[in-house]
Amino acid sequence: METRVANEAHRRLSKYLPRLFGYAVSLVRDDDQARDLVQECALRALRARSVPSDEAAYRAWLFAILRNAATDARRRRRGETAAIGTEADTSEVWGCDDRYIASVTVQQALRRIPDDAREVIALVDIAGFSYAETAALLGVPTGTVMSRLSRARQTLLRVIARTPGRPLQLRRRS
Amino acid sequence: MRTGPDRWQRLNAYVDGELDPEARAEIAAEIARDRELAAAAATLTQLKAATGQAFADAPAVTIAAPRRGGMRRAAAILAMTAAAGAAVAAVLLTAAPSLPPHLDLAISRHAAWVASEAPARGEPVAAPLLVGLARLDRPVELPDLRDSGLQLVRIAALDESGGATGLHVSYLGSRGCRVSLIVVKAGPDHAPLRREIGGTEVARWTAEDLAYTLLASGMPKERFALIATSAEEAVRQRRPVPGPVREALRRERDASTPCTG
Repeated sequence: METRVANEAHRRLSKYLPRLFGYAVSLVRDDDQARDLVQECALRALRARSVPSDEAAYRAWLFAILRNAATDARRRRRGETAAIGTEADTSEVWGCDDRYIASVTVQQALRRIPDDAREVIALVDIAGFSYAETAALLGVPTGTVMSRLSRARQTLLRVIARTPGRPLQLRRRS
Repeated sequence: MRTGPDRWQRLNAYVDGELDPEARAEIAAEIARDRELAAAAATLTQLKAATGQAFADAPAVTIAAPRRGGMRRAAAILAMTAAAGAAVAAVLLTAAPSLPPHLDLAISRHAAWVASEAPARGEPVAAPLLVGLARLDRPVELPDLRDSGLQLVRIAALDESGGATGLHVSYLGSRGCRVSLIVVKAGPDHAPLRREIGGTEVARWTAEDLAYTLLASGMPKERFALIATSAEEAVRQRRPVPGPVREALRRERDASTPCTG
């Protein structure tokens, strides 16, 4: 009986492992640390006495556990969270050359942007959360997610444009 | 066109499907009128899609005792497991880490290549097409790693006695790095993989009916990750990686330290 319950819990958790891993990489920027983090998250989830039955709530709960585990790990390492740039000028990223946007360049660029920018992008684009769900996870208003995400993507596009190691490659489309 | 932060923010929300119907119709009408805004929307859509795929081929994560962090951490996890009861323990024990035979084979072949006397760079190499046909009954797509300073120097058959029929492709770097690519028929055990095993970085992916395992010893993790991702993309797309990625590979190679393995 206990084994059947454990297998069911394992199955339920397993389908979220790839996205949890993507989110974990976005938090720690290291595959090995991300794997450990997901494992820590899985252990905490499997040990929990109370588990949400609703699937959307369960998914949000899992990502919250992962985020808390990352925060704990960061505290242990005395890491600091960098802030997203506050630049308001978006003119440079309008019409970024799409040839530079491929999964390989995005993956590299994601590792080079500030932590909070990477996290909000990961929650919306990798984990697939809505703005409201992301806001609940981060403990901020939905409007903050909206503005933080738009600035984060702006930063990401700038990094992608600079990836080849030469001056900003932006193209104005006519 | 005015490109203020408010408009950029609304465009992001539009691409994310987060606008109410009225605001959505409003910005859709703007996009229809403004080609530059339409291009920006297309860029954001592409960025969102590429980000969603950025870790789609992430290594499989299993729930098991941690590989790093030493015995103390492992013991702590096991203690927690015990405290959590037999149900959790059953899950963890069934997922205990082990090295499957095909990984053992790949690592031993790579170790042999690292220990062997290197052929001179530029020596003729057996035609991949013919070797692929002979060993795998089909042509094999091999990635060109020259942008990373790695030249293909040898293609050898894998021993059938090792449990696999395939190719061992050896790459040699201008600063002495040794990289292996093992190509075999894909089987159920060949799930995508990214991990470090005893100082050797390992990445595996499948393309059509073949499994590719890339190995390098002593190579900086970031550099290996970029080489593996671009090699996978080249194999899957059956064409060289785009110019910007090639430039990134060259830059990463120039900035990296030589392999220590």
